[in-house]
Amino acid sequence: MQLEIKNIEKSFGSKNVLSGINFTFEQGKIYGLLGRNGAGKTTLFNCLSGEMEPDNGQAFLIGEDGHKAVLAPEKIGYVYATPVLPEFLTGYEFIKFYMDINKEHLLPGKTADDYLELVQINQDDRHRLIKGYSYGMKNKLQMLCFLISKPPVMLLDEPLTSLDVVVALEMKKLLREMKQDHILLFSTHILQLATDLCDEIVLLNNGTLEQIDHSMIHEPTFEENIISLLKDESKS
Amino acid sequence: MMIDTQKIIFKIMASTNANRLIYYFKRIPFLGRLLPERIYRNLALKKNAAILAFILKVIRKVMGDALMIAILLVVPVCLLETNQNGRYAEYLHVFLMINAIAPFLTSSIFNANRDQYICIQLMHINAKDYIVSTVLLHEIGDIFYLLPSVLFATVWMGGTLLHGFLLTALLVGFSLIGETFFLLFYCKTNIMLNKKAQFVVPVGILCLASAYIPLVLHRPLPLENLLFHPLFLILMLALCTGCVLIILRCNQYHKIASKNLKAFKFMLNGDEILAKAEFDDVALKEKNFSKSDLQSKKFEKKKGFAYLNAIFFERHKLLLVKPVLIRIVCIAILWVAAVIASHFIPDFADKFSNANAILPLFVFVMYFLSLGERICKAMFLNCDISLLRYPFYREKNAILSNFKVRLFEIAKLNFVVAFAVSAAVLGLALVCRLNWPTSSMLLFVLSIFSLSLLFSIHHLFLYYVFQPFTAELGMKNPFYSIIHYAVFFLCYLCTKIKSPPSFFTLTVLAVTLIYMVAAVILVYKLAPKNFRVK
Repeated sequence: MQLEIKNIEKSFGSKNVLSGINFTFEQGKIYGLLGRNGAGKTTLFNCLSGEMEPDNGQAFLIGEDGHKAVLAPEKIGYVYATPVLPEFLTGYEFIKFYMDINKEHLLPGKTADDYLELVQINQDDRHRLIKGYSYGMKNKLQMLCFLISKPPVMLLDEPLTSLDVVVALEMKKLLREMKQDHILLFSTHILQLATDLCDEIVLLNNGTLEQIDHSMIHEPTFEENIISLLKDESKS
Repeated sequence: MMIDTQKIIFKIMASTNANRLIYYFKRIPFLGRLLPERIYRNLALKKNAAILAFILKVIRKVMGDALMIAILLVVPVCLLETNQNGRYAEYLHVFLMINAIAPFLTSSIFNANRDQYICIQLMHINAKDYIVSTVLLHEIGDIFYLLPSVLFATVWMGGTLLHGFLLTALLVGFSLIGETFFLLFYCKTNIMLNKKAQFVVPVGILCLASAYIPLVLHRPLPLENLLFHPLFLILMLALCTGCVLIILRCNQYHKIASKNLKAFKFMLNGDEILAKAEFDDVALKEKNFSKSDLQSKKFEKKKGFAYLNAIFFERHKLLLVKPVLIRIVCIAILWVAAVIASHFIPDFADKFSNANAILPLFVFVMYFLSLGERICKAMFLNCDISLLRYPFYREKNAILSNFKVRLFEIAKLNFVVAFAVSAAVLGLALVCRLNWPTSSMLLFVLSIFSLSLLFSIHHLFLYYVFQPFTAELGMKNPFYSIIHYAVFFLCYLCTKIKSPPSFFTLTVLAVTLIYMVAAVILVYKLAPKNFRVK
């Protein structure tokens, strides 16, 4: 399975944020989308997920059988930097509702409690309003949604940036376990996170995407190289 | 010190207001495009925009005050007193009662707003400097804003220019006394009295009653000699000086500001505070639910959207049932009042002798009584704003099934009100022995219920098709407002209709049915595009 992005453009007023994005992402890999603040990472994700209409271009999903279809919103799981969940429900109720909606994707015999067990949300917390959840718990709940619905493409917008070390580690483990069946795009402006978790690094700079040579990732001078790349390109 | 603070505040506000003016101008269709994005950098132009914003504010204040004086003072006096000679005494009476009592209803010291948040929280201006200088400047400013309209009204009512000046000064003096009262009360008890309904409501009633009841009875207090007596004026001056000293010497402003702003539930973005304040009355409070409430699997058998909405309406019961109860209580009070009136006023019941004549009036009544916008706001803030981020929630079929479940729930609440209205009117008809034919009664009830359903559909339909609320500003889509006003106007027109009840009921039924079908089709077609977080 592949995600093919073709010539996506987006500008706000006179500011050109995405100027012709062309790229193909593959299943089984975690892609780290690296860019400076304001480079357009969230804009790209919003264009892919259908929250925003791109000015130009399209994205396609190419199946294992070679069948190519326009990327539909329901094929995407979007994990936001700040989790968005209906706060009047308890964690248990939300997962039960989410399971009802995504019946066709459920693993046979799994209950809401089984799923909540998976992301280690304990019995007491399950029956509290999401409104009172900590940031980490909300994040886990949001990830759980995508463990349930298994969308082929997952966009993660700086999801680990503000999590504590324990939850961040749990999430990383979860992502590594999930990657075989998904195309994972992980946006961050923290270089360490990208090198630590991702199989490939893609730079978003000056409105275009550029893949970094895989062999560079584990070189000692990698960090400096990336920084000089980001600096040079923003000057040009 | 105070003047320096006000200068800084003025500069901050000028800049904020200029940015806001430019921002809103840019949102005007077509015209807005004339201003390029870089306009925010043009400092000279922004200075002009700030001056323009200031002038607009002054005009708005002067016009607002003039309107207030016209509505509260001039119009009632002119309507109720046809004798030109008696008008001035009545004008002075209403003037004193309103302006001496109303300052005990609101307080600018205890009123948190966006400006206070920006200056104290974000810009770290000293809370005492900010509050004291703002309150005093506010009072001084009021003299200028009020002067033209008070002068005009006083002379027009038969007074002199000097009286006009003195009345303006008295008005500001009363307002200062009110502020000081709230401040002293807070210093002694830690209670913000202006936020306590048990204080504000009786004072409000006292204010209106003491002003207008003597007016209706043509028995104003003889105030001319008192109000302009030098001794009274000296006493007021001394009192106001005392008030200013108390305001200047009080040292609780830091506590007041932090309490004010905490009550505001502010967020980092200045504009979100306003949205939050607007949404505050529909927000969900966790402490309202016990552990067993949250653990109960009462709705376990329901599925999908039915499950979601069952929990939504259960958790918001307090918020939704309260307005229904208030409506029922109001209907009951009106009913009792009408029964009493029918006893004492012989031809009172005659107006209701014909169901035919009063039915169209109930279109208007039901429009006001039906719940809708508040529920939609609660749905948006507590549910849709987050779930709309999930693609499944924006799918056509999901939207439609959610719409149907919600319509059913809203209609249920509105039917309770419809039942109360029907019971009250039929009860009144029975008590007054109006002998309405059974068919009239049935048609009446049928009309009320279908109107109730119609307005339930109307609010929900507009919410789904226009989704007027925004996450940041709570600002409304202009089309949403236009349609709202159009429907309001249509309802008003209905009060003019004279037609046989059977025909009227049939029309209401037909319109309800057509609206329902059209709403379902339009929601299915348009909502997937428009029903989203903007």
